[in-house]
Amino acid sequence: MAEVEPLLAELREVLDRADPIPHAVLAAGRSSFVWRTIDAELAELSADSQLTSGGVRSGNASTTAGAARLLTFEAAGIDIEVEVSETGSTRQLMGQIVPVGEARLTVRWVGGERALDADLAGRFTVAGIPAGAVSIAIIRAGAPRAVVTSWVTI
Amino acid sequence: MLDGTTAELVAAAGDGDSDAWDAIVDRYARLVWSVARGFSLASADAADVSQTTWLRLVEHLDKVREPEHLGGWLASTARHECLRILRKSGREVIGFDADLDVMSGEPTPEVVVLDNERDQLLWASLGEISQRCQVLLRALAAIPPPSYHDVSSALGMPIGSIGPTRARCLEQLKTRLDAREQPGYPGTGGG
Repeated sequence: MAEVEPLLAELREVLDRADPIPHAVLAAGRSSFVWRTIDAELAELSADSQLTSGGVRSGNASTTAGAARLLTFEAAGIDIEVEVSETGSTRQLMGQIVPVGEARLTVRWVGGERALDADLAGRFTVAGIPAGAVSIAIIRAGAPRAVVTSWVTI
Repeated sequence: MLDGTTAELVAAAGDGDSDAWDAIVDRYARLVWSVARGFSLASADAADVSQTTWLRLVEHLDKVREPEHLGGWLASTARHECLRILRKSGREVIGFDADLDVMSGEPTPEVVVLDNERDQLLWASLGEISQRCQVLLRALAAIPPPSYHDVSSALGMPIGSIGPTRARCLEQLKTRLDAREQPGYPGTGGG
């Protein structure tokens, strides 16, 4: 690497004073470790309507707010589709698990969690989830391992 | 262990060693933060980006393919989260991938902790350069300084472009700073 230009060194010092990482952000990063799950299969986010929808440059807050966001998570042998709608600072999740079947779910967020059941058709609905990072843990009848979705900010 | 290589820390954290996890966070938290702030995200949004990035790493600890490039993976994860937030708020980063000379248009707030005039001018000048340059320079200025590989992931640009881009971005910053240091610059002394 080339030698650091004096201006970059100056900038580093200014940023360190003017825009340091908040202690709470550092602490939240450290405490994220408690969410480590062992022996659960990860369902990765494979589609997010917020990243793929068109009309990007004409988009603005008034047209995108309120529109439901569709998330798809996939793991071997299971898909989870979740529609997220916003009401103020809380979110409603309407989901569908495929293949269909009964399942026990836990919606997890930093600071809390909520347990609920999916019906026989694999559908579930939960409201009042706080905005922020969220993940869903799923235990299906007869399945050997739990599945957890990737964390997403909703 | 706290001085271990990133690959050693990732392996230890994957085995449940929380001290190793803390060391990873301490090593890369400022890089992640600098990416989010480089995209001009407000502090609360930047905090969300950080949180989501670390949670993603927690779930991926056993699957990190190139642990020696973990900083790049984190920076790239953070960048995607930033772009999603900007898109959602209608603040698409037009020109982010196209042109270094597209200005960000987001004024940098005044910061009272800088008592030295030169530092204040430098801080203000940072807000006047292109968005991509802001991300690049903030990432390069992170503590500890990241590798070019990690910085290229933060920007989503080839590693070979980092050197020349860095030179251009520093030149942009210097030009803005020189202009502000001229006597009679609009707003000089009055904020």
